[in-house]
Amino acid sequence: MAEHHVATHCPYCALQCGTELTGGTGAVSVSPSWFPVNRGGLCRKGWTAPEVLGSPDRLYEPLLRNEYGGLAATDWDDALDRVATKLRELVSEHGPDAVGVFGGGGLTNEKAYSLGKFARLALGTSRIDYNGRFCMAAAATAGNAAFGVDRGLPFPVTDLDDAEVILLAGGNPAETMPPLMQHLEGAELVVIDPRRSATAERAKLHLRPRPGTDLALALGLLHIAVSEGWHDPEYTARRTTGFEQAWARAVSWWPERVERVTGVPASAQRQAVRMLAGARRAYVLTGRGAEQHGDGADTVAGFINLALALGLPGVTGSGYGCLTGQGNGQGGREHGQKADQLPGYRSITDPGARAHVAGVWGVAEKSLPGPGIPATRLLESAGTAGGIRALLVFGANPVLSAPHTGLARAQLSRLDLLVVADFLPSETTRMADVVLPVTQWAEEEGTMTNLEGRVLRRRALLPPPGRARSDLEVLRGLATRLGQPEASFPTRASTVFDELARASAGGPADYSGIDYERLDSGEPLHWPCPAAPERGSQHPGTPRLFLDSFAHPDGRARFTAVDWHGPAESTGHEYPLVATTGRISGHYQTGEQTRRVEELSEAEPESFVRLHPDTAARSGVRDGQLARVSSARGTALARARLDGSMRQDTLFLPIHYPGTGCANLLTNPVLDPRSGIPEFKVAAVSISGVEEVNT
Amino acid sequence: MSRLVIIGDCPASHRLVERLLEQGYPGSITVLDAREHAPHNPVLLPAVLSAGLEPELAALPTHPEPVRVHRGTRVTGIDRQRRVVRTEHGRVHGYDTLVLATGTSPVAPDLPGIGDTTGSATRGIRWLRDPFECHRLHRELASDATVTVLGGGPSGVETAHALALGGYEVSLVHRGQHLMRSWVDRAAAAVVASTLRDNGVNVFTGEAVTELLPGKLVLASGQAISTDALVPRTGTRPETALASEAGLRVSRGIVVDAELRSSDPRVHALGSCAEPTGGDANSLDGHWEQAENLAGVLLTGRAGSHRGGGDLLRTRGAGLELACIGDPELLTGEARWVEHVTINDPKRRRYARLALREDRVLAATLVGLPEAIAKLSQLYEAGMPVPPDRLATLLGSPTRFEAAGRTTPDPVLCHCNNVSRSALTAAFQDGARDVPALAAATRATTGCGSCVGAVRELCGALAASSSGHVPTGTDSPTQEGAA
Repeated sequence: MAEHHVATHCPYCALQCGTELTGGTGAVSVSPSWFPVNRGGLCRKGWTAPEVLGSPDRLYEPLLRNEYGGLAATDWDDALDRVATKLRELVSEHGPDAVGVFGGGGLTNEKAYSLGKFARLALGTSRIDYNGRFCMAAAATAGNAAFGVDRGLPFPVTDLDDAEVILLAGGNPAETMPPLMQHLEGAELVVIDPRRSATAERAKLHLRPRPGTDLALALGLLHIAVSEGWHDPEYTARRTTGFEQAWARAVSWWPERVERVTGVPASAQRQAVRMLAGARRAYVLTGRGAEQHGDGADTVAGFINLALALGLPGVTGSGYGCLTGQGNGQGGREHGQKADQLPGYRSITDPGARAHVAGVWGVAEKSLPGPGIPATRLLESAGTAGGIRALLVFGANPVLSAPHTGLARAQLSRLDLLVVADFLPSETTRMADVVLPVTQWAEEEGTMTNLEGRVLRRRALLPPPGRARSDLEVLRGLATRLGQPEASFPTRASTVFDELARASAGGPADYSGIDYERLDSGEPLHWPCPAAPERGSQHPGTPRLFLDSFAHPDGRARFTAVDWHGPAESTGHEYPLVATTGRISGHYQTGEQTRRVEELSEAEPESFVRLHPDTAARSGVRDGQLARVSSARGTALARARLDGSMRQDTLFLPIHYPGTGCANLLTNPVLDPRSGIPEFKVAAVSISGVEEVNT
Repeated sequence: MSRLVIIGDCPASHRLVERLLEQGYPGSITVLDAREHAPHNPVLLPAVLSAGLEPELAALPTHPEPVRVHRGTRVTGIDRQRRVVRTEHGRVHGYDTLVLATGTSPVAPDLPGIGDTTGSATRGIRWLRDPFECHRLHRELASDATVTVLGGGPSGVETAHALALGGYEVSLVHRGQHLMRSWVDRAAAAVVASTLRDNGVNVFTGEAVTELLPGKLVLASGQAISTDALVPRTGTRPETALASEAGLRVSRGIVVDAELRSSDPRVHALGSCAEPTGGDANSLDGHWEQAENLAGVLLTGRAGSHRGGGDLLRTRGAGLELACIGDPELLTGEARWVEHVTINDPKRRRYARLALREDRVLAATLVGLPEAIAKLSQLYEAGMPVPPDRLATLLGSPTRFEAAGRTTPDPVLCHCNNVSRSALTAAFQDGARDVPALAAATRATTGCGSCVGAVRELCGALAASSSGHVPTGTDSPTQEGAA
């Protein structure tokens, strides 16, 4: 095959930097393109992404657990037959909800859509959810409640270029999505983060709350905005509802009280509000730090309330947004792999939405199952009465990414059948009964929707290696074996997209005016982009939402009355410190891909724990020493890195490592009741040094 | 069904009702309050004075049904035998549990012509007890009016500060030799006074007042201060009349035990009318802790596990950074087991005095040190040790930590792509002679782009040395640029 080029996008984060791939039979090389979000930039994860394509342990063949307990290669027909037979058996014995489906925010829109359709039609199960639940579900819930629609950034990334002040609550883009930083250069940054992250280093003002107190801080900022007269009563009256109820809670959060709870000086809180309120163009952005809490949706709502009081959302040049994490975290939550949703970001409990989607699928509305349960609960239910007995995992590694991973592993081991479709071996494929090798980014066609709601084309440079198949083919293979007509599960991405577009028509995330032809011509299409009326001209897409009205029926944004009650777990004698988790620049998610890139893996080969030198001294931990970090749930081993900028009550661990270094051995599986997001950011822990014996 | 009657709608009893509702209190709740309008959050009074906050925004939220709140209803008596309270309208409310939350009334200053606490605006007296009184002052006084605050305790200091932020010409007159005498020492008080003066407050200490005349206040020293409005902040007295008439034990306030129970087990008291054993009775935080505790008692028969608010005084208001932690007595003592740390920096309006034992904060006074206030109050409440570098902690400079062997002779210039100085130098020598070429060769600058300057500088330095010789040594300017 001759060398050729394709224009595509990076496989990793939600920024979806534009890239150009060159290659053929030999090595593949990548170069950044002048796409608006990255404008020629790329981080080291993106530069080294092609290395994963040729990973020596790439999955090339279906694997089946044999009588000796090992995974052995088989052919597709055998693998799919066995899976289908077992699924049929379990469904007939225990009902359709005995089968669970677990998707991922890295799947293309087409795969996410087909997975949701497969679950509801071929399996008839309500038990589908995805790893986005671990990621930014809180922001989605809060965004829907406030604005009537959830699109990470309701404006193009490039709008941030002209901001004067940006408040970034719990986000660290300087490490997690470095090319975004060029859009933040012109603004003064206010960064809220318990630790001095690479982003906090660039901030004009850094607020360092104790982990788990972010909502108290948000309430305090609202208190200052109103009590010091910075709020915009005219905007509040004209464009919002619910201010009085939200204010009634914030009344009790004066800055000196917030200081006591959060450790953020009252004067710094005041400065933050003055900076934000004094700017002509200002943004409030949230990231995982604000979201991954037992009160995550309320915490995000607290920051949205602040933005609304200052009159930012829905105004040109200002706004609120969430920095979506996973590559297709946005699109992945719009097309039906979420427990409570149907394509087009429709609610599965809305009779009109059900009827529309059932119509597109050619089935009766009553045949569609109702809402399922959030990811953590789905895993917990494994092997329990009324719980799932089989789980199909597509594009996720829940053994590492779920909170309290020790428990998650035990739960998955109780299943009668675990099927994992992936392109690399992971902690989850190692537990599987059947492993199905699938294609990855440079081997497939499809679309992704980035953090600004823009729909992008992913293009294939290479043919599928070995016997790997596209997830779309896998789903069709299973669906037909479960009695579905072949035509219901097309395998051509553009055909799936056209159906997805029809299914989304009229929904909040309306893709019906988008097709591959328009995307391939380079049109910047942000949803909603409804189909053109007959003889009408094509809809140009919606780069900026809410300028005229918000998506609630009354056109107004809603304040949410929220209050702070503290994290589920408090520190005490046995576990006197707080562990918080996060990401580092060299790795993505559970590191399944990036840990296979030599350059990245060599730079950060093992898990570490950052802590203050005084905390280390008191705990008898030396710099560079292996440390044992324990919570009520488990113990992780990590290399100590002393850091004078850490809070003395806080430890930080990255989430990317497997085995004994896995940060999720420690995390608390308590869930936010509103969004189902787990409390990854707060766990009560202790730390001690480990004496290593040289062997 | 159990009947709970609460006399007085104050922040403490308001929080009590909220907590009872949240936790599903099974009985009926009736609140009787003599005032016409809803209770307010006292912390917002300064905002009404200084920022013109609408008084309605300072109100505490309205309780939902089925709580019955009777406003404008003065209670005239408690009959503990019959377990009823009588109101001025002749109504009778039976109770199974009674909670007194009657609050305080201001102590009028000893000043001829001031009369009792009903002293009115016409005579220039402004009590500023609720947001409406504050708003009236804000509305009625011209922005250049003169306001005198009488009394230099925490409340007088906060009020004077807020009025000054509101643009008035403010005087603060205090009888004692220094401000906040029962809280801070002379040196700290001097820094507080200077801070107030910086904000435009005229501070008079050691001054008694002799007479209030139209437009001016006469001091014992003979000096007259222009005064369009006089705001007394000369203390408060718990409202205990109902309790003593009902035969309950009253000392300065209504005496209650740790479960906020008075000498009659069916009658509780909380908030500023109560005199609890231990705990912090004087702050809003303390009152809320009481409310949490009493909610626990009424629901389960046991006080909750809430710690008392701790002895922590924190002044409120932008630019007024003062905290008093723990027992101030410990700051003056000379006990051998107490470690003292003092910083007195009057020019920069900073003062700190710490009393530590085994690295833990026993007591502290902190003025003008916002970072230290935030940090030490958290360490105090968590019982965590103070870092060994006390001065760095107080002054807010980060602890420097250089691990042995962590100094890098070859710094990373591009963190996003992990490109070191030596890698860039090597690329330069291989022919990459400008930033785009270096970027293409090494990927430096292609992440967040923040290292472009450093890379350009290095490139310039390498080009300047004609032979392309690599500058080494720490004295090279590029090294500094890279650091």
